[in-house]
Parts: sequence; structure tokens; C-alpha cells
Amino acid sequence: MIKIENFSYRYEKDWVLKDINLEIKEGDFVLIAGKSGSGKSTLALAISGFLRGKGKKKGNILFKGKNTDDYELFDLAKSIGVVQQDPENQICTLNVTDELSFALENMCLDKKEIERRIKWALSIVGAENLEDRDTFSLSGGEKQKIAIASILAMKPEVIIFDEPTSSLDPKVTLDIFNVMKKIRKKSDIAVIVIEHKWEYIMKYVNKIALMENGRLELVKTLQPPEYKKTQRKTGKKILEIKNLEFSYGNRKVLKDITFEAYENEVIGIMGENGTGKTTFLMCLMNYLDYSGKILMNGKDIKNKKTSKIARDVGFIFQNPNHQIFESSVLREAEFALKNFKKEGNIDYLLKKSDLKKYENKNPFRLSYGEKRRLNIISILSYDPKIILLDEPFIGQDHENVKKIMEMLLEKNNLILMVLHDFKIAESYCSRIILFEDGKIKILKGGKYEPRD
Amino acid sequence: MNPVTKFLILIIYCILLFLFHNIFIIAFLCFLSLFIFYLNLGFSEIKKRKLILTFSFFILIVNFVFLKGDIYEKLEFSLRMVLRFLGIVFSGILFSKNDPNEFAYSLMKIGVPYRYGFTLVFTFRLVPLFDFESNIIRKAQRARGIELEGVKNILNFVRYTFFPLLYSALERVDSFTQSMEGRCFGIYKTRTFYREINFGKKDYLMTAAIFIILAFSIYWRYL
Repeated sequence: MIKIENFSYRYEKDWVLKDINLEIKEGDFVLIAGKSGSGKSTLALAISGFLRGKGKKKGNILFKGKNTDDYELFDLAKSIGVVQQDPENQICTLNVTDELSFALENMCLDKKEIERRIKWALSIVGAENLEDRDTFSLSGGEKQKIAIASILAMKPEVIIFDEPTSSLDPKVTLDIFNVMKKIRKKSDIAVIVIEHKWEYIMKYVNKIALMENGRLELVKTLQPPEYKKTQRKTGKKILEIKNLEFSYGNRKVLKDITFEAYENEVIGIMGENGTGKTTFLMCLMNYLDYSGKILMNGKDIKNKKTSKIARDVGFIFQNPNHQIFESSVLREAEFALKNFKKEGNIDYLLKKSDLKKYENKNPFRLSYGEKRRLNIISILSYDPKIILLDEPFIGQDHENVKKIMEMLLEKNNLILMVLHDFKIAESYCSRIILFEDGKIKILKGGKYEPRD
Repeated sequence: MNPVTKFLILIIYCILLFLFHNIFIIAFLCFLSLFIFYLNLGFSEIKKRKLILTFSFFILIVNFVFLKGDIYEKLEFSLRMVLRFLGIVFSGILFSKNDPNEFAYSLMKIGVPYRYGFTLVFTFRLVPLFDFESNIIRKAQRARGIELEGVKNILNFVRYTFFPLLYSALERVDSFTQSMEGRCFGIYKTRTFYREINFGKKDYLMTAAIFIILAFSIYWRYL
């Protein structure tokens, strides 16, 4: 159905896709794996026709024997649907039913047909209960299901999933993978999935493609990533939390949390989305008006300003874009250091993070992974004794995770990080705090397997 | 009631508030608005709008202090301002949470081109996102050691909030465009609508009534 022949593509000077050959047949289930920046997403854009008019290309992508460039973009869109990484950027309307009918209304289908298709799409993704809900009230997983259903309702012949689970917790990730399996089972739609977390889905696909440096190679199987197990010698107690509680209005989000942590510990904070993990970190910065006691180095932080606490506590937010303020990489790297009027070795950190070469570049133009490393050095520059990270590894490949962890572990500090990846947790964490409905369970040794 | 009808009522209500100078009529209109608010949400919700009540008191004082003229004139003028302010603010209750969306769809149903209609839908879609993001960005600023409060810091506040917000918005716009094109937005001149929008008897009656009131008021006031 889709035939990619010796296809190369570049935006600017360097070829992003190099001489790619791939055939996708009706009913295929294809996994595309590879590092960030290896060209996976560009390939998805190329197949779905979104690259036309931009950049330079060689070779052909044929859909049903005809060059994709010769189709009207809309005709191609009807046949090749794309589910993007972040459903928040894909859902255009305020109501689930409006969202599901959006494409169908644009295609001028009549009411009966729209109704039939909505019912069908919802049944495949298993979201019948969400009909007519406000899109804003949905959870991340529910949003992604609606985004998938809205593409599915168009009855395309191919659906490309571009890292659809990167912001989802393991349980919901599994849900989404099961939706893909169901699409494959219940229809002739070919499924192409681009994923970092391919370990589960690998068993079900019939083709695996590995991308590296713009080249694509078909492989039989993939090697799971290995992290070097790193444990540091624990030091003195620096964080003490007693009976911490917090509520949003009437909803209690944190319930009676008591807990101590020591220097040189790496503590993983895990659990499903919406169980209070981020709220917990926010309390440690005094962003929220909590009750209970939080002591850092024996001192109560309740009456301290966040900007004062931040001298000793570094905080990394989920989205790298929300925490870049300056106009060059160098100035961004030393931004916090200068605000705190402290001393630090920026040059060393820039080299260490491979960002030295971009020193004068606008930080917003870095890649996603590079931005994340920049966030990290902006924190490491002033050597805070406690580092809090809220899902730092979203959309990051294994290489980048290793690099980030290596940098974080270089100094003596206490690290608390929210994460979903068991492998990373097992390799680096000395303990895991498991959040369940606002309460915590502490697991020793970083070992935690979810039950289905 | 259809949101378009509600919108018309709101507009005409505001016109009426400024059309009349008689303080008793303005007071009556303001009372009407408060009464509808009370019927919908109860007295406790009015009490919760402390900021609005304080602000209206502030308007009263400022007007009273800075105006020239004799004391009754001053008082009447200030009261008029406050009553108009309260009337407008509390009449907002006519629009409930779901209405903005339905309003946009209704406009398209009565003939507004769908491209404009959806501009409105996207605006409603993006506002809470912006709100959420600027909140996070402000938190991130504090985490990097800057507390941007007060007039002195207004330039830095704009600089350190605006650029992250702008960049994030640009990225979003890219994704949204792809999402819309990928779902055939703009393919034909018209499109169908799945959602039922009712413009029923009640709406026609209300629209007619409100226009009659407006016409009558203008006649009364000027002729």
C-alpha cells in the first residue's frame, strides 16, 4: 500500500532521512524504534504528506502506486491518519462529541453516518463512557483515546502513532497499546507505531524498523537498553517530612505523608497519573499551602519564599520550554547561578552536556533532548543539595537518560524524581515512593513491578 | 435557551444600562441582574465575589472624591457608575460553562462562516491552556531564584513570562495546524454539523421581546 523508495530528505543542510526503503502492506503492524533525532518523526511527516513544500528531497513515497505528492493533502489525510505525541495539542474542540465528529463534519458526511462512525470508533478505543464530556476534564489517557478515536472515525487505511504514550503512566500506556492491537484485529487498517517504550508492543508487530542517523533498517528484534547500576553511599539526613497533607478545594490530594531522606539518595516517585506525585514535589518548594511539616537540613520551610528555598533545592519541571528564559544557551545556563549570586563552573557543565558548541545559539531552537540537558545544567550550576525532577525523561531516549543521570550523580545531593520507567528506577534509585490515591508506600532497593 | 439569544439579551441589557440616566431605572436593572444571579447560584455565591464588591465600593469612593459639583450630584453620579458596573458583572451569569462552545456552534448554524466560528472555538480551547502554562512558567521563575513582584519588575516579568509562553504557543500552533489539516479542515466551502443546535420558540419569543423593550426604551428616552 505504501512504498518508500530510496527516500532522502533534508530541512536545511544536513540530510535527516537517508536513502530509506520500506514497504507497508494492508494490515501491517510496524514498529519504528530509534534514538531521538534519528529521523522517526520526520519519516512520519513525510509519509503523511506534511513535508510537502518544505526542504529538499530525493526518491519517492508511493501510496497505492501513486506518488504522495500528487495527491491533494486532504485526500491523503483521509487515508493516512496521524496520532501525535501530545493529545493536548491535537484536540481542537471543547467537547468529546464535537471532537469525534470534527473530521467527519469537514468531510461533509451526513448525520446518520457520523453517528455510526462515532459509535464504532468509541467502541474500538473503549471510551463509550466519555461521549459528550468536556475535553478539558479528561485525563491524559482519556484524551489520547479520544484523539485516536477521532482519527479512527475517518476510517483511514493507515494510522501512524508518533510516540503516543510518552506522557502516560505505565498502566495507561498499556491501555493505548491494547487499543492499537484492537485496531489491528477489528479492521484492515495498517498501524505504524513510533515508540521509545517498545518492549511490550514488540511482541505483537510483524515488522520492526530501527532508525539510526537518518537510515532505516529492518530488524528481527531489538535489544533492550542497559543502564549501569549506580548506587552511592548514603550521607546525613537532609529532608524530613511529617504528616504532610494537601487539598485542592474539597479533594484531599496528599494524605498524611511522613518520610525521611538522606544525602546521596536517589528516590523514585512512582504511581499512576493523578495520585499526587507532582503535588508532593510542589509542596517541597512551598508552591502550595500545605499542612504538616517539611524540614530541610533541620529547618522548617513553611515561612520561606520559594525563591529562597530554591537556593538549596533545584526543581525541574515536566516541559523544558516552560523553564527557559534567556536568549542564548550560555546565558540560560548561568541564569539561576547569577540570580543566586553563587559561584559555579558553567564551562565544565556545558562541555559535559555536549552543549558547548551551541553556546551562542537561541536555546529555544535546541532539540527536545538538548533543552532537557540545558534545564539540568542550569540547576546543577549552583549545586543545590536537593534536586526535584518532575518526569524528566518524557520523550527522552536511553542515551540521553544515561547522560542526564551521569551529570546528576556527579555531586553529593539528594535526588527525588517522578518517573514511570521501571528499568531506570531499578538501576538508579535506592528507594521508591509509590503513590496510591495520595498515600505513599516506600519500597526498598528500587524494585517495583506493576501488577496488571 | 440558545446562547445566541442569551448573548443578544446581554448586549441589549448593557445598552439599556447606559441608555438611561434615571438612577431608579438603573437601580432596577442592576437589581434584576443580581436577582437572576441569586436565583441561579444563591446568596453565598454573591458573597464570594468579594473582589467585585470591594472594587465597586472603590469606584464609589474614587468618583465621589475626585468629582466636582454639589454633593447630591456627586453621589448620584458615583452611584450610577457602581450600579452599572455591578449590573454588567453579575449579568455575566447568563453564560454558563458550556455556553461558549455552543455559542460558537450556534453562530455557525445561523450563517457565520465556519472558519470564523472555529476561530472562536480555538480561542476558548486555548485560554485555559495559556492560563495553565503561565502559571507553571511563573513557578519555574521562582525556582530559578527570581521573584517578580511589584511595579519595578514589570519589564522583567514580561520578558521572562512572555518568551517561554510565546515559544510554547508557536509549537502548539504547529501541532494544531497539523491536527486540523490531518482531519480535513477547510476541504470544502461548507461543512455539516452533527451537534443539534436548537433555536426554538422560546428563543424567537425572547429575541422579539428584548428588541421590543429596546425600541420602547429608545422611544421613551429620546422621543
